[in-house]
Amino acid sequence: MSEHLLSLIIFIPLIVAVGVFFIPNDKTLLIKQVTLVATLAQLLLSLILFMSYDGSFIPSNWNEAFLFVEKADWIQMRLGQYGVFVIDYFVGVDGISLPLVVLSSFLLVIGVVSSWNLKEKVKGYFMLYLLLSTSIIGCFVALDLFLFYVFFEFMLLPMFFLIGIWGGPNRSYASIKFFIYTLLGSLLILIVMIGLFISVEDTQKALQLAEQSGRIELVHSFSMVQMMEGTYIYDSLLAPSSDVTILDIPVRYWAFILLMVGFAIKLPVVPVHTWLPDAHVEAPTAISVILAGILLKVGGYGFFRIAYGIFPDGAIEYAFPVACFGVVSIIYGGFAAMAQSDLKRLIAYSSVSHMGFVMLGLASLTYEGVAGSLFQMISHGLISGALFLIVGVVYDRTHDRKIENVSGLASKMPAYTFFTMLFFFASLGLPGFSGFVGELLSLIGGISAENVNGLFPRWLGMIAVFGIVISGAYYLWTAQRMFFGKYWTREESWDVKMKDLDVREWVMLVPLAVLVLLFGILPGWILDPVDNSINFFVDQVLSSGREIINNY
Amino acid sequence: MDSGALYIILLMMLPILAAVISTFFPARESYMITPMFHVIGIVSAYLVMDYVPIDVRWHWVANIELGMTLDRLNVVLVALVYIISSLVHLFSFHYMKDDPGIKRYYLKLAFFTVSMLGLLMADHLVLLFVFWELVGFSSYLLIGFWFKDKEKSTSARHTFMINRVADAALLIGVILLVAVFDVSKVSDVKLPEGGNPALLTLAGLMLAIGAFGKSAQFPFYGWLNKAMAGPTPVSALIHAATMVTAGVYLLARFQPLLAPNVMMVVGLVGAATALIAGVSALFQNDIKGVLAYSTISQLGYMMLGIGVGDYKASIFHLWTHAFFKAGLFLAAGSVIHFMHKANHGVDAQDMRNMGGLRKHLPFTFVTFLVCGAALSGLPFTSGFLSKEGILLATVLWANKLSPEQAWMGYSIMGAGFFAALLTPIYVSRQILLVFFGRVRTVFQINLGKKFEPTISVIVPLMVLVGGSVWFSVSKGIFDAHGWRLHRYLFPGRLTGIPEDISYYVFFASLLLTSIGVLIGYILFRPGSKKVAMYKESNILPNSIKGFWQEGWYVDRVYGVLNQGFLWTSNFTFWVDKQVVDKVVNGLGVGAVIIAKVTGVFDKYIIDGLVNFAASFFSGLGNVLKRLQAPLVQAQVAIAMVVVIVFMFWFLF
Repeated sequence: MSEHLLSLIIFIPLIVAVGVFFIPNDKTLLIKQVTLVATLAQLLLSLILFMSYDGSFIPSNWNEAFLFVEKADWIQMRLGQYGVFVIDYFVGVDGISLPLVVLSSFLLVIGVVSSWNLKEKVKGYFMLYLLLSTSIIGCFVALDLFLFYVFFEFMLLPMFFLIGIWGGPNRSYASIKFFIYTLLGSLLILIVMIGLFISVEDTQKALQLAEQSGRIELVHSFSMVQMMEGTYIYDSLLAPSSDVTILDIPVRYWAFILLMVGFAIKLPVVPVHTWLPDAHVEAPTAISVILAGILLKVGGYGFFRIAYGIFPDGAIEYAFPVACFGVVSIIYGGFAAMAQSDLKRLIAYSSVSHMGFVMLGLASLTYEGVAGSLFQMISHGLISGALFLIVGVVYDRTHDRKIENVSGLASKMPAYTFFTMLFFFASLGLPGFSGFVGELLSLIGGISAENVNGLFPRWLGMIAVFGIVISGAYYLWTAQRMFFGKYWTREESWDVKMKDLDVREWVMLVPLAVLVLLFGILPGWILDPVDNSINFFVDQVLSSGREIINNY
Repeated sequence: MDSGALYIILLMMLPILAAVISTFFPARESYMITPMFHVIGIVSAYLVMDYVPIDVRWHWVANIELGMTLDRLNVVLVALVYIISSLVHLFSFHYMKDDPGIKRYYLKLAFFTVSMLGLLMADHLVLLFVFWELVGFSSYLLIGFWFKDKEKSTSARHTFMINRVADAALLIGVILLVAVFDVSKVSDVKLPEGGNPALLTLAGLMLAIGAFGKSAQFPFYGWLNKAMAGPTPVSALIHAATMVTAGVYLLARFQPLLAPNVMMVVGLVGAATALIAGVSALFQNDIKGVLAYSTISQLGYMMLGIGVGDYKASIFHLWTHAFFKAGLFLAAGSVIHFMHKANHGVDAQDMRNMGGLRKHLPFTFVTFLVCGAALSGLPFTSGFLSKEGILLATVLWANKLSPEQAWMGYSIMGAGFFAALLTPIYVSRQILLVFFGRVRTVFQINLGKKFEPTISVIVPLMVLVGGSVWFSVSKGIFDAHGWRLHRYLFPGRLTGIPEDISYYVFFASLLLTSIGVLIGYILFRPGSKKVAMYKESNILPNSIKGFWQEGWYVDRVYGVLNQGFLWTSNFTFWVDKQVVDKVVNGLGVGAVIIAKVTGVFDKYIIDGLVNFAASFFSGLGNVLKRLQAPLVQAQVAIAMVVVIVFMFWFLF
């Protein structure tokens, strides 16, 4: 089983989705149960993956960096003198994708539980949901850029429908905005993808094919490993030696910029973030959880694996602007969050702010910064997922999310208040919760980068520290307005509905709370197994980036 | 795990263990076991004194190796926290016994105590920061304990936010020291070799700002008065004896790193705060308000001690202050409890409603008297000894400064002495207004009853009174360096102190306190004009007295900053809506326009061409039809399809 573990994790939901298709429409409970079992199986397998991942080795190049690798021929085209065009089914995990896979499968289970009370068009919803599960995991483990892109695009489709059909009143605007924004991002990524495809030669695959056919041919493939290793065809478009410039900027840097913009839309980074609040406000609770908890991380993962992994020279050259955008997101997102009166929008903006730490930490290219960046993604996935569930609790009861429409909930719903405060404080970076660790490590990276590798000045990191003040301000203010003071609701009819958490809500919130605390106290549980991967990533980006910059 | 680690963990966890165990029992009496656990803590700390240092270290994340340690300095402070905390737990039993949230209260109180112990024992800057935040958090929880009261929960939030600003600075300092200078051990701070001295100065300054926040120094001192919204035993523990001294502890530990400029800033801020708060304390009408400002003022003294380079004197003052200030707060709590019972209709904390309470609360009165004397720095009290130590250090320091800096040094010194004059004035004012004269309101209860009946009030007050008189801290009545723990804490020879200066300082402080008490007595003695008018005294909001009463309007400064914050946030959101989204929508509209244009182009030009081609081909077909067999058409169609498919294939 272990040699096909990744494929199992990816495709179980897809297979189950086909099965769900044959369940009659009115057996909604069965559909839900089957979906739950499928996501649980996915979670179980990813836990097995995590447990059996042995991160103790130190890779010497990208070829060795991945475990659980599966590679199969998919499409091959011989085009005479242009060589062989190859697309492979190529998946594998390293320490950067592994935690994200586990996080995703965990949140996908939570998402099913959260949609348990869905009543309309149940079958369609859960089929799309399962499709989404497949493409999310696929995205994190794909090592073939084409495969990655397929999964990447396939996430868009179910997401578009899940928001557009099951969303709130303004859903069509939100889903189209979401779609166009992300499609634009995908387009930029596609351009670079094609550029890379024609510039990189896959020597490994060439040898492999030579064994069958007996002659060495030029092989173009989408293998990200080869792209990261940098086996470029001499003087091809994106080769380091290429002297093509557009507006005086070398084309490799352009490729880096396009990738960064493409993934920045996904992350999202100010100023390409405005789809996020709209999409969140209209999305059903479970989809918000998936959106904030996982889909944003695909953007971050794209930075790591594709932008930074393949264009390390761009990473070094543009460390300062990247960090700047991170810091601007932290501050700007925080301020914008404070101005919100809709609880869900507030949390959406706080995501923008917290994702800024991901960018800052990564830009620093120090061990702490990169580890912090990765950790922040995991921690934010858990915390923001939980926060959207928290919003869902009050929305389910009142169909209203306005902060000013309720107050003094603490006296009426103590358990709800407890969890809300817990996740608010986790999100504002109180030590003991995972949010603190991510922010601390990213900030260490941001402040110490000047001394470690001189990529950008330390005042940037110091400005980012101000973000913790802002997050404190909007969370505490919200907590006070909603939970403290005398109990009051805008509509008297809400009184009967304002019951404390039910069993389903406990089941969702308790595991999240436990994990957020656990990773806050023992962050090593996540970071120790992937230690070598992060070190390797940092070394590799710095050394090959410097090499390219110095030699060409 | 070795026994040392186990010992440290147990020593830290005792309070929460006790609170959790007590929650399992339904009876309220179960909370009496919490002080007992604290006594175990005190005994353990005492027993371990000769076996320090012991420490425990563990790998946390990245290259960060966290650790906790017990060494001479913190074992003493751990014992101090345990002593005060045990008394507060005991006192709370009486104070909170009718409160429905008692379970929540004890858990939060225990959580605070554990965090405070952790802060003291942390031996890595990051871990220290962790507990630093946690004590702030538990303080937030306790200040907002009565969350249904909007004002109290607002106070809690303000407190947390003001601290958060300072904590952000501290975080920068921590990161700079840990990541850039590789200084992380708290118990063993050495000046790093090499490195950028300007950056080190910055790091030191950031630590100092963090300390100013937690220790309520200028410009952050405004939060401490708000913190009085919490239950009074909490104020005694957190906002007088323990948490607020964390800043002093931090700077005492990191003093070797502080550049001379930073030390000067610390001294200046300390002296200024002592003076500012001393003046404000003179005008408070809230019984806890006076104590809050006096705490700020005393913390200013401790900062002053650090700034002038004598952190030992500051630690001594920290110790004595913990006792007499906790005593004052608990006594005030007893007064408030009584007032609350005596008349529900009036503000139980407003001194304008009090007066003559010594008849009803004799025991509380004695406590207030002794602890107040210690706060004023009267002879035969512990406060006299420790305050004199700091003043002496200030004088010695000012004398050694270079001529260019001397004016600054003497101003700082002058501020310190002047604050020493203010202290006895406001203390005697408070005692006279609360306990002497005639009561200024109506009591609605049977005054024949005793109001200090239980052991849970008497024991804490007695212990704190005991800790405030000279023999409990020192052998010599007038020896500022005779602290019993001095030898243990600071081994090594005492550096010689010029005797003449020592005498001058001794007589100067004696003189100042006497004058202060005298002034206070003359102004506020029973029957004086001020007391007669006190009930109706209202201070005009924009008078100079109002300025002092409201803590030099520091709240208004915060208010302006807060408005700026809100304004920025609204502006940001406006940018989001009006600029970013407009651009996006504009792009969308642009795309639609292009699409429309393309559509028109499509319809009239391309379609026109196609139609033309179609009619052309149909014409051609008609011609061909006559020439060829009917199947040809189909063949052409198939060929066209094939060509198109191939074209797409290659284009892709």
